[in-house]
Amino acid sequence: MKLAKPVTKEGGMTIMAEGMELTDSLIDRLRNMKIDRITVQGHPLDMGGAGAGTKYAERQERLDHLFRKHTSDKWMMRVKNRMAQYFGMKAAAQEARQKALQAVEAEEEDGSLQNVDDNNGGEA
Amino acid sequence: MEQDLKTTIKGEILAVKDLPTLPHVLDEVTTLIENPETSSEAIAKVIATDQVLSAKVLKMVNSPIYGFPGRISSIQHALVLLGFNVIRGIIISTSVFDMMVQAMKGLWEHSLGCATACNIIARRAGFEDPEEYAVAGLLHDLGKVVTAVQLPDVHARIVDTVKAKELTYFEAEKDVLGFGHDRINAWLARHWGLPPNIREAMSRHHSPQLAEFYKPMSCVVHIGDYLVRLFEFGNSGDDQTAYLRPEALMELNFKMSDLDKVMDEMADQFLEVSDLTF
Repeated sequence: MKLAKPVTKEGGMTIMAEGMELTDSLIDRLRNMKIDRITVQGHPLDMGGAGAGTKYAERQERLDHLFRKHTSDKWMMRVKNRMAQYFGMKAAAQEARQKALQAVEAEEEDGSLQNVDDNNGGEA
Repeated sequence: MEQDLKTTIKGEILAVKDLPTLPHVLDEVTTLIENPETSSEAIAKVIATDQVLSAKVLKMVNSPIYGFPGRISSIQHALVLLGFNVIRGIIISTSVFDMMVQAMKGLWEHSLGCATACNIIARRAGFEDPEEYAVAGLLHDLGKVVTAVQLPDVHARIVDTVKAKELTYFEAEKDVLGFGHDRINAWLARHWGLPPNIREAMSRHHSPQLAEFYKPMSCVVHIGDYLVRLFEFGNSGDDQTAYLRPEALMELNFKMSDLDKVMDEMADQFLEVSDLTF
């Protein structure tokens, strides 16, 4: 489960960034900090719908199904194409942001591994 | 014959003995409101006597739906900022949904989503009091809940018809009952004394082009409902998009690109309102 929105303290200071993977220890830490509300990606609670955190690419894929009864209606097909364009644009932006986040995470991981190597080297 | 069926069903739906009971304080407040000299302080005092209800109202008014997230600390403050019509709409919707929140939690989420969308659309269209549009969105499917409470067998038949004939919930209602929740909304809104703008929006959200007196509000709820269904936020009873009437866009002077901006805001706010359960 990943954060869909950053966790902030009163005053707006960010404690955890968007896209961060939630682990048990992180959830405990949030509890200790008396943070009782976070927003995660996807739809962890089944409310019978798609969920607020649904990815735009998934929304785009659903359009054929949602508009299936309007295929012979010119106006509604125009509406559908416009929505496909919007979701497509959003999906591309979402993917690009996701890749950037992954790149930052990978860089940070490399940096910490490098530190471990350096420390080990020092001890030897 | 058809008229007889309608009258019978209207009678069953509005049967006072079974109708979801609205909090007693709402009656008291409605009486107080009749006197133009009643202060918001006096109204707030009456609402505050029901602590559970007050907590629910405060939770709702502090959600992003109404535009003052986390900034309203008392019922009196809410009354001053949002007005009695909005508070009354919130009390009615939470009271009715309370009975059905487990069975119809998807519809509750759909209604919250529609309220959120209506506020955004009304603001973008430059309308005053967007909170009233939000309440109309919150109440737009109330007829579905009340049918489920009052006539569970009929509700089950409608649900079965949606699946068997691949219809929208609205089409299935007309198939089973001969009319839809838009008509039930009109009866309920009149029964509960809701203001005429909200009443018309509730009864015309599927056909806003036919609205007589408050077309803009009916169009806002129509577009809000369409967008929430497109986002599949919650569950309105079927898995199809609603028909988006071009007249509704024209009434608000909206182009398709205006919907992009509305959807940008909606996606952001949906993340905030998705946990607004009871």
